[in-house]
Amino acid sequence: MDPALETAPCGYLRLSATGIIEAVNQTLGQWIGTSIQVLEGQKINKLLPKSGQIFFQSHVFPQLKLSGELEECYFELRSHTGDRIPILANFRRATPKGANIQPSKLEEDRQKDLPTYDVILMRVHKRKDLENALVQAKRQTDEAVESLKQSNDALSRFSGMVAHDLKSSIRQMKIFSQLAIANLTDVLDDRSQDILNRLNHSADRAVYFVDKLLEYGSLEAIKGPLKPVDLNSTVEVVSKTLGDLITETSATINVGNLPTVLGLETQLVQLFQNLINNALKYRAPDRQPAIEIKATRTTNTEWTIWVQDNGMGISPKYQDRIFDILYRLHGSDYEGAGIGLATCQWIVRNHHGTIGVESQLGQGSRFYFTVLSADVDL
Amino acid sequence: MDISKRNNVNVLGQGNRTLLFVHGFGCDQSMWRFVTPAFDTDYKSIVFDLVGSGRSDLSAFEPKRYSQLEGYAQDILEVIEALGLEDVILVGHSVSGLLGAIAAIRQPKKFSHLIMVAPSPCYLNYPPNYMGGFDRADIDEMLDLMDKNYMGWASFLAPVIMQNGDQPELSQELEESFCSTDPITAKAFAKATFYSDHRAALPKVQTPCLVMQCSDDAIAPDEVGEYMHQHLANSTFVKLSATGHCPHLSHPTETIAAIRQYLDTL
Repeated sequence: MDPALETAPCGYLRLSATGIIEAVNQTLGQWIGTSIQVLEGQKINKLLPKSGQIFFQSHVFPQLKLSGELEECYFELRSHTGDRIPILANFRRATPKGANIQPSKLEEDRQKDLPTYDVILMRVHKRKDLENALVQAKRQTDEAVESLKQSNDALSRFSGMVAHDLKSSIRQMKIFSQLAIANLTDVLDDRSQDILNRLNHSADRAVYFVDKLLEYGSLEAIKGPLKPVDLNSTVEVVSKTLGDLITETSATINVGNLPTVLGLETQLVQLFQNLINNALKYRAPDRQPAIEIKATRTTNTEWTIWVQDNGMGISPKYQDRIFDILYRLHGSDYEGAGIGLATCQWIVRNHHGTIGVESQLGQGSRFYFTVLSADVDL
Repeated sequence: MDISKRNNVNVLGQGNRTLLFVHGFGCDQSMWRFVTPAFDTDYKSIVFDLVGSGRSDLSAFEPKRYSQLEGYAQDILEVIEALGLEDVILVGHSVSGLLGAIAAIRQPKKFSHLIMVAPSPCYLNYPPNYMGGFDRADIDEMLDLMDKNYMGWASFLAPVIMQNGDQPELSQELEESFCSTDPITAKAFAKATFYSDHRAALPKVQTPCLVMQCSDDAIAPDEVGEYMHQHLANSTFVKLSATGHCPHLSHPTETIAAIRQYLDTL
């Protein structure tokens, strides 16, 4: 053996195709704590724990046989005293000295050569600790993801069931109150009829509320790459959907030139729908609603979209809370579930943006959100 | 479902009788590449990849089914069914010898003989009566080793193909036959294999068997091969001088001769 290799700062061994150690360098001998003479002629199995023996037989040898090479293979050797030495090794089929191996030589011919393999070994004590930590972390993550997924599924089944049962009970209540109103008109006084009407109305609101909650609960995180969405057409879709309400309230909607952004079209439609719907719903009593939608480029990667109205406005002390789920600014005089703006916030965050509002009571509100520009390479 | 595609089935050879080669844990059908050519003229040799191994369709991997050897044995029966095979002589390496046994117990009529290369009915030690060779801790450690090699060193299984500048088709062929392994499915196969105990199945095998025992095999030691031979109802035992656990790779000539000798007596 080359004297430089004998004492090189790495282990070296030559392995026969049948797993016999044909040569070892001094460095490896020292690691194992056994003289080279004893090691040479031994089976590699003698130096491997049982786990390593299976691994060599099932993975390493077949791999070497079929490809002649193996890199960065991790295993452990057993030292003379039984200590484990973590090893990272490279294997390669050796070229017999003096032989002129044709690169084109067929596998069958190689077969007859009974190849030997050069193996270079590095001790990786520190790296092993790191690896262990990584493997451990990965396992924990996998387990956590799996259990989250399960509890998520269970929750979603649970909420579906609850919603269904709640709604059918509420509908029953509604049917009974309607029956009472229809059949008992003669015997009921005005006050009782009024109570029944209120009950009927409450039932409607309860169903609406359950539906909105379900809608919020079924919002899904964006999977896969974001796609370019032209906001001009998004707003057009929303304007059509809200057409009746717009006509009814004689509202004007003034849309500026909007950009193409990165996102999920269905969610962006929902976002605009909730914002415009709110602007119409909370309009000022003394003037026709006027809504203005425009965009400004605020950073290299982002647009800020503004939805401004001339409605009743929001007092500064409530402006922080209106995006909270189930927070309701208005009492029962406005139909609402306290979910619309929470949905908006969820969607904007799902698009890696922020949402907010500037408003003066009695003057109107200006909602804004940021969204990634489509001309950005992610 | 297209079973041929799912299990990457390849039919080789021209003969009338069918040899169905089943690879063991850790590799795929390419393990048989040094053996099958010897039977080309007399037999129809069929090689395939168990689901989860080699170039099988990984999307067909159902964790529950493939957590038990019975699930893999079902692959064998489905391949036989899909190809309309009869009188199959199954050649199974290592755990696949047992897969053959399980399949043959379920549908004995499909099989004429089982040839088991380095088989074991149970890899774990159950002292004092049975020593499969490994303690549970050894197997746990081996699974750890697989984790580290798959996760930590991504290049472990990256095909490193020998230089074949003037014969591109050869390197292409090698690339395709590589023991490619998916870490999740490989671990499932490892667990199903090494934690299982199918000793009770052996006496139920009515199909005649050949047990090929290697010398100095760390995974399936002599006592285990002898146990197989004693407990199978109808078995022939042959001890190879080939060492290790994969004689079809390391000593194909002797392996071919032993298989042929057995086939010639049929």
